[in-house]
Amino acid sequence: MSSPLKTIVISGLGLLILLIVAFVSLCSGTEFFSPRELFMPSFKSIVWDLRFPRILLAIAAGGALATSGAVLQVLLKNPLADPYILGISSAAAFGATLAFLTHLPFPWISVLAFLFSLLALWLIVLAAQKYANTSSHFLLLTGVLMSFLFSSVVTLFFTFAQPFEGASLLFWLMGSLSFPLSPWVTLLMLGFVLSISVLIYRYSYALNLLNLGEDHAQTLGVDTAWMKTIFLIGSSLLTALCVSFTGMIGFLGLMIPHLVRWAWGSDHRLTLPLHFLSGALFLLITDTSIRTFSSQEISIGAVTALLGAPVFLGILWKKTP
Amino acid sequence: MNSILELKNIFFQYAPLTPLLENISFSVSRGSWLSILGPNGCGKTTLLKIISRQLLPQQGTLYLDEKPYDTFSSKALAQQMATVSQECYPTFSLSVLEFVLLGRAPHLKGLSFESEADHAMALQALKDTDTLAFKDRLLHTLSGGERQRVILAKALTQEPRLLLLDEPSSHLDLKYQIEIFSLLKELQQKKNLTLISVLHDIHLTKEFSEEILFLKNYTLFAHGKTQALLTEENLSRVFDIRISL
Repeated sequence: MSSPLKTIVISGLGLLILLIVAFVSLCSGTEFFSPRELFMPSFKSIVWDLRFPRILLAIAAGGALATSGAVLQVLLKNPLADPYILGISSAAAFGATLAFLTHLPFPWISVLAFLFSLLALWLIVLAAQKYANTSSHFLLLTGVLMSFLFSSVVTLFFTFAQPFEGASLLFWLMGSLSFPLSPWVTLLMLGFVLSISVLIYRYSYALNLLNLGEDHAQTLGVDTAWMKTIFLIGSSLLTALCVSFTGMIGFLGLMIPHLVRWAWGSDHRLTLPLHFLSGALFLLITDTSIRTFSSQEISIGAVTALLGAPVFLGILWKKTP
Repeated sequence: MNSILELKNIFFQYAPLTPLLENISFSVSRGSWLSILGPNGCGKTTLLKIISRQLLPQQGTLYLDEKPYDTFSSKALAQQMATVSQECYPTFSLSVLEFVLLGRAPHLKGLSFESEADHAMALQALKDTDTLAFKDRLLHTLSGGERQRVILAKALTQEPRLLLLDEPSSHLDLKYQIEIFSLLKELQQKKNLTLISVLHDIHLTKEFSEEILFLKNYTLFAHGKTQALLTEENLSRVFDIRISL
């Protein structure tokens, strides 16, 4: 049973762990710095221009994907739903590809990725409004089909791309936190992600009620159409923000929510902050390990899938009688 | 000011040109128990869903306490009426106590953390429906009958003035049918609760509800006191089969 005190204590502990890991991550890398060295002028650019934004990006992206996954699973009444299933990330990848194709300046890749994920979001909200009374499988299928559509265009372009273009495109398909960003941009992104997450948390109790099914939620006084719109837009914005900076990092939005529910249950007033913190922590630890133990840039999307798929299968098989 | 609920000229169809309910008008007086009877597919559950505003009729108006439904927010309506549906399958499982506590939803504010009083109310409802023993079990591990009593407990925790029941006895054994219906009767008398139920069991209907409403051929066949209406002749005409009481 959750209470405000329990929520604050557990979330506070989680936040503390995240901050400690972030600090360790700041010191770690191919070169290890002691805490004192962090502020030395000679290491300034490595620590504060390269590692710091990357850590912020890991926290924002991990938190956003896990939160978005947790919300979508309840909303679509499907434990297998995650941000990618709605096709938003493929739409973003398509936008990025388009920026490549037309040789737009570098920042436009993110901008176009974001615009196209919003387009996908708009299509989904439109479908959700028009077919408000149809089952949630409808939305899920719409998302899957949209995902196929955008992915196939990206793959087609991939076939005809120059070798160097192909390498950059892989970034969008596999996901990476190595996109060079200024600390201010990542801070801004983290700010947006946190604001949207707080807005979603404000309605966490409605999520508990929607978990019973729309009929039950409605008879318990939830304005289901309105709440669904809020959750859809919120979780899609989180995904869009994320994908436009990191490419497609799969499985996180599927795996983390399951682990959190397994450990703390499904009262979202307690678990929503934990979804965010666990996702952030997971992506941060994974990325820090990658850049500490490997001299080459490894796609984090491949690593999360490699770790996530077996864990997920384990949970799925254990749960299914 | 005697009727708690009034329906005027309700028309409803799921698909164009195939009306399911036509020209339905009736009112329910405060503190009474109305049972809706009729053959399969005549729109009983649909009518109940229209009353609970899960479905909106294409024509006609509903009034609660003589105020049109439009004037009630979803939450305000849920503070007045609760629905006992036949089943509930949450996507992610939760404990019986957590489930029943959700009945407090219409009365909570902000992040809706429940108070001690809310907990006490949920425990009392579990006790009343004889389900307190499995308050910590997960909802999906219960049997059909156990779950049905827990769903009722959630509705009672909602503290409604109007309770809608959709075949609340379908999974219950004989003992619990009598116990649950006696509990509802007691609440009806003590708290002036109004009940509207869809029932298949003629004997339970006869025993517990004062008023009945027959639906047939998508419209109201008859509405009145149980004693006067629940006759072999009426049953035969509604269900197209000879029934002896």
